[in-house]
Amino acid sequence: MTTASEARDPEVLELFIEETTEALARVERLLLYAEKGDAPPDLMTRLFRDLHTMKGTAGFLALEKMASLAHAAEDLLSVLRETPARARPEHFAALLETADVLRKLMDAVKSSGDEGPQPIDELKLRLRAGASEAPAAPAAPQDPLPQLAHPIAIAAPAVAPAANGAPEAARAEAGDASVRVNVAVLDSLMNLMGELVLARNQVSTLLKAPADDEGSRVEAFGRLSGITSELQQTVMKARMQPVGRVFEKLPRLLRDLCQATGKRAECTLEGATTEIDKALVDAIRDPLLHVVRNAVDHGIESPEARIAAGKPETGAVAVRASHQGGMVCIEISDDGRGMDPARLRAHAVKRGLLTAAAAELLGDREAVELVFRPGFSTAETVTDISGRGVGMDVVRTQVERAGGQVELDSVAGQGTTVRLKMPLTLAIVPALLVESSGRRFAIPQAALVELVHLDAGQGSASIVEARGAPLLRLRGELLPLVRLSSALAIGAEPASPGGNVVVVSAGARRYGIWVDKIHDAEEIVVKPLTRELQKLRCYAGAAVLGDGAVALILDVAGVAALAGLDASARPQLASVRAIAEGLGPQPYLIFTVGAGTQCAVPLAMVARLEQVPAGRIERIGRSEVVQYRGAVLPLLRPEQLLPLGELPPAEEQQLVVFDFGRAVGFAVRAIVDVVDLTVSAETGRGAAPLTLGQAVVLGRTTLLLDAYSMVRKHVPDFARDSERPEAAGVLLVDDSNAMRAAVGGFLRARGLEVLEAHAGGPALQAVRDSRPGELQAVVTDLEMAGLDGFGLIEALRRERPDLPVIAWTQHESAAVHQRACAAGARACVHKLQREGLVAALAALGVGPLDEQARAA
Amino acid sequence: MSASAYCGSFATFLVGGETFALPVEEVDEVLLEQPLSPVPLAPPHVLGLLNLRGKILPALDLRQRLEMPPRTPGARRKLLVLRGRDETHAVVVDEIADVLELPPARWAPPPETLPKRLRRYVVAICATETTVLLALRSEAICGGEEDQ
Repeated sequence: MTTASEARDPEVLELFIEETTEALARVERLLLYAEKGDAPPDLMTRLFRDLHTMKGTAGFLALEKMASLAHAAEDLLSVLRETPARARPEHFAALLETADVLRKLMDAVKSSGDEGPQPIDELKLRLRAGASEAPAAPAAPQDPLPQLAHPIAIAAPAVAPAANGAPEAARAEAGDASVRVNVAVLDSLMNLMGELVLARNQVSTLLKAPADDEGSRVEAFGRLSGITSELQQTVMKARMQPVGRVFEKLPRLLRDLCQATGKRAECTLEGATTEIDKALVDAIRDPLLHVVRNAVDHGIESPEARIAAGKPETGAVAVRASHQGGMVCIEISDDGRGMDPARLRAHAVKRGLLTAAAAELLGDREAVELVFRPGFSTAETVTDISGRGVGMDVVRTQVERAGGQVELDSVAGQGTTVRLKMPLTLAIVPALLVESSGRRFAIPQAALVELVHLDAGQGSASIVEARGAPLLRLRGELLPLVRLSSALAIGAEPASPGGNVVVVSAGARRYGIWVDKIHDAEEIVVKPLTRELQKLRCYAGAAVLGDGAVALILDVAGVAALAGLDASARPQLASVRAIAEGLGPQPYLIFTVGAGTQCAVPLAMVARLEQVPAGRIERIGRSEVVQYRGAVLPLLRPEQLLPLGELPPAEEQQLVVFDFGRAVGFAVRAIVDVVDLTVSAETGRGAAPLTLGQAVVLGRTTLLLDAYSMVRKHVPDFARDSERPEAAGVLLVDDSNAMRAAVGGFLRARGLEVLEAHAGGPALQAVRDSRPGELQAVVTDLEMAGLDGFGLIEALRRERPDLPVIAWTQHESAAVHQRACAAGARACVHKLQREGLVAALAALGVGPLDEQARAA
Repeated sequence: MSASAYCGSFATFLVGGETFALPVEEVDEVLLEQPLSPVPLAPPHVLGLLNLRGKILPALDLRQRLEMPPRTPGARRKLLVLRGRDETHAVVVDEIADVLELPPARWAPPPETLPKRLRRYVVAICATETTVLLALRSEAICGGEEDQ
């Protein structure tokens, strides 16, 4: 087992420090309330939980002093939790001192990486002494908790005395939901309110007066409208926060990354005072940290490489925030190695995202965009390939969810610039109103690409039907089309193909929403829906329109999913279709199958041609496979699927190999030629199943095969394997962010897909929301606020008896392990035994785990 | 809701000829029938969204929840605005009745003859001289289909 200190990931450590800082502040606050006699009723339980988590995470990170001190405090608290009446002032003093010492240890870890010489033994002894006093000691109830009258020598926090202590304690903990507002802003709000009252009085006077005074009414409206917009701006201003709040962490992050990677880089920050809505400050934090981490990890070269390239030894990472055209733009640029389009193309082909032929067609700019494709990169594979690009699909998703955009510029050898463009606020968004079957819906402008008017099949844009599925043909591109009325099941489809299409982008996927009418753009105030309606996923919220009616706001990714479009996108399938549907002449591979029927497929879909001896083909059940380059290649025979005339197999079997994310071979009789063909939608009229139609090629009738549908339909497990690559999923439930990050990273490194939840309730919800087969096991902590681990295990045993649960605890006592197993856990593993967790998962058959882990 | 909650005043109302009750502190206000915007694909008990002074609430159909026949078209309805812990809903009822003071002793557990699927909505019953009151569990009425 590798020692945890070697594996101490700076990111996990940062999370631990952040979490522990919060927990210590909370512990201190609770202790101070307790001293004043203001303790909330569950004081001991809360303290216990915080110290318990701290102990576990510190132990996991091999911070031994912190772990053992927290352990001693936990022991004392566990006694006091059972019999609160035994709490005495010296206990609180010792606990407060513990908080101080823990903070000192943590500061030492923060600055030097280890815990330093801080002594803890004497304090530990005092805590232990407090814990081991015999319960029957006569002195015990001498000074019970609620009567703690005299403050110990620690200053009380500067809070106003409250009549009722417990709610005050609760309020103090809900700190993050409040915002500091400049008094000047409040004053101007108050002034505007006064104005508003006057305007209302004016309107009410007008209502009583005879109704023919047009001038006064216009004037009253003008006044009301002016006040409203000023009020809107002022309230918005009150929500504004400087972006600098997120910047604070960057120098530190950069320094740690440089230390870990042996690189040198300096960070310059500009525009830290640029203001943005509070909700968005939180939304950009993760993407920003991610991009900066990428800049150092993958952008900046090693000092030697930089000198060799004629660059200064120390790399530069510049982060600038500024207002640009109603948005906040955060630009992160580095002077590192940049991205090489050729290597990106090669990598995309290797990852199975594109065929080699399709990759060749990409321009340099489009090649750089490849990093945004899901599945393009993982930390292990990309480091030596691209300048940057780890997890950029995640960055894009997060930014777009908050209504923003990501742009990327990269010059090989010179560096990369990433721009995160965020709206100023989430609360009010510009949206387009559309109408379908007489109902109005709003589509956020951020998702809009363009509007297309369908002029009864004429003009540059038209709709083609491909086996029942409508597609929009737009300037040589084919986009999937979703008819809003059918997707939402609100009315019959109109007979005429007229109407309007709103082309939207959802992540990497673009598609058209087909509606009856397009109304105006309007600024709408986004109101949240109840949880029950949020579950529908096709609505992002609701808004009150100018006329008082309520309109639903469409979530374009949700609508795509509803219509069966995979929003996380395999965009190459659309392009495969586009090639097949024919836009201008395309090269087609012509070959014969069975008794000699001539067939064609677009050459761009073909990965390669192979020849294997017929004897190497094996049968597995009803399918045929061939061992090939160390992998098993499934084989299809088009003549059997269509079906056509068959002939006995030849000695040497000719194969056409396709790569749809997974290689599949078609057994064919002979390769004939490559021919440029123009295939139109008319070709497809009355096409047989699994074909796209017929054409006359080289004087013979030729079937155009729908290779993708054949593979999808006839290769066992293809649909599941290729579309659910995330199968072996484990849900990790722990209330410590640091613990989840550490264990999650550990499991992910072993090839598992890890979902996370911070408490029992959300975990149960995640299980209910998961797709069948997505989750294979749940790993849960036992001590959590709300629904705890035991409760979760029991609830899952009732709801999902098929889903194994592993309890994951810091308790060593056998009783706890037995209780967890009695509740329904399949195994109970101690938190410090990470390998034990892997073994327990492997024992449940949860994979894929790597070979080493399997052997262990 | 625990039994201790049953010591105050109850707002009573009629749905399909039966009388129901909710603690008054859970009822924020009563509205006359309002235009509702339907939500495509929503569960059947969600009748639509209503605009309550700029706040958007879903209106829920009590008849659907309690498996009663749909109301006769054209009949006037009222809406009770229920404030939950973190979400506000409106429920559609036929008519508002009195506010009654009902001490805990008057309440009994729901009869076992009540179909099990309805028992999650009904928390207690109380017989008055004229009628039988069914006390509703507002979090079950307002919660999603799978919520406990």
